[in-house]
Amino acid sequence: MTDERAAGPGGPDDDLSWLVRRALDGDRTAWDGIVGRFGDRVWAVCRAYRLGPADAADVYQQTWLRVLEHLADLRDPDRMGAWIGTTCRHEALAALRRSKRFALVGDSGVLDRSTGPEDDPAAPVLAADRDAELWRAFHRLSPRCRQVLRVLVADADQGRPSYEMAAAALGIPVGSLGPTRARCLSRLREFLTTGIGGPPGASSQ
Amino acid sequence: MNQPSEPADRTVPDDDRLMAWLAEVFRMAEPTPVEVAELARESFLLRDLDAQLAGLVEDSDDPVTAMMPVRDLTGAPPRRLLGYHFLDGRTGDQLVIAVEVESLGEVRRLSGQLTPAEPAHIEVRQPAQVLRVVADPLGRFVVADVRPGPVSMTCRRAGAPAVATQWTLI
Repeated sequence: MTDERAAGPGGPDDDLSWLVRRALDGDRTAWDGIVGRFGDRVWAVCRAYRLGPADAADVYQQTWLRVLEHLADLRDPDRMGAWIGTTCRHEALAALRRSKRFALVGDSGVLDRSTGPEDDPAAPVLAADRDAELWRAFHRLSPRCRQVLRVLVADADQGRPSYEMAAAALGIPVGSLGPTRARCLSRLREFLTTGIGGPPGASSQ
Repeated sequence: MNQPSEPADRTVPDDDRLMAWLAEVFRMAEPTPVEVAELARESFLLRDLDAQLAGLVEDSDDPVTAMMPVRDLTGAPPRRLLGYHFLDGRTGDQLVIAVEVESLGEVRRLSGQLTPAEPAHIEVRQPAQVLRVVADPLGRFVVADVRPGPVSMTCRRAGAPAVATQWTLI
């Protein structure tokens, strides 16, 4: 999945507007470019809401069908990010209601509470011990922190982060993303340091 | 710290590098499935170019828009009521499409009603299949064997613009 480069000034915002215009004209490759821009992030949101595999695939596809349906109104990159995030969150919550399983979301009170070892899934095959430790430390975080970081991690992976999308997907204001991220990473760092077994205060910060 | 990308044994990275490390671990542990990305790209083929959009204005599943929650006290299969509305501000052409969705295991059955009541051709589009039924002179239609997942119904009335319902996950 590659991004089509705009013939014009070539900044990222111009790229997306250009892709939308081309997709509206029926250019399939332009649509692939839009999917390439946001696809991994949409999947991360589906995973962050802890949907089962079938529900996640349905919510993922439904989100993209809604984007396509609404495409003419989404030329502005900030609007597109926020709209995709909001739509995906709405569909994920509806899917959860339908499957009668409610994840612990939206309560800032659970932000700093860690979960017990019974919540720790079997670590996938991660070759390096340190990576497995990070995986375990991550799963000791509260459900809300796991959800926030899961969404932001997909954002960190992209060349052009969309804080608007992450905030909309999580249902929080853009302005609180930074502090929330910092709080959750601070907790993660605590668990990581404890796990490694090094002396407290050995961190670089 | 003089390590370029990996923290030393007894230290942990700053926020940005911690996020980058976490991103790498998630990329290894939970990559986006190839077939999932394909679903998004193939959605492009499902767009209906000549139809106007009827928005979803009522959904018994949605606590915000539900006007009449469906209480199941009889053990009957779960039902969901959907309401779609199309209005052409210029011509005053209006169409309401009410759909009852019954879940019978892995199959969905849709019972629809057009208002104003009139006959129409109904095309039920889903990613994996397209079904075609006809609404009778009273605007009623039934569609069996609908799959769980996204669905959009295009209503074609004689001498009127085609109207497609907002994609809905059923």
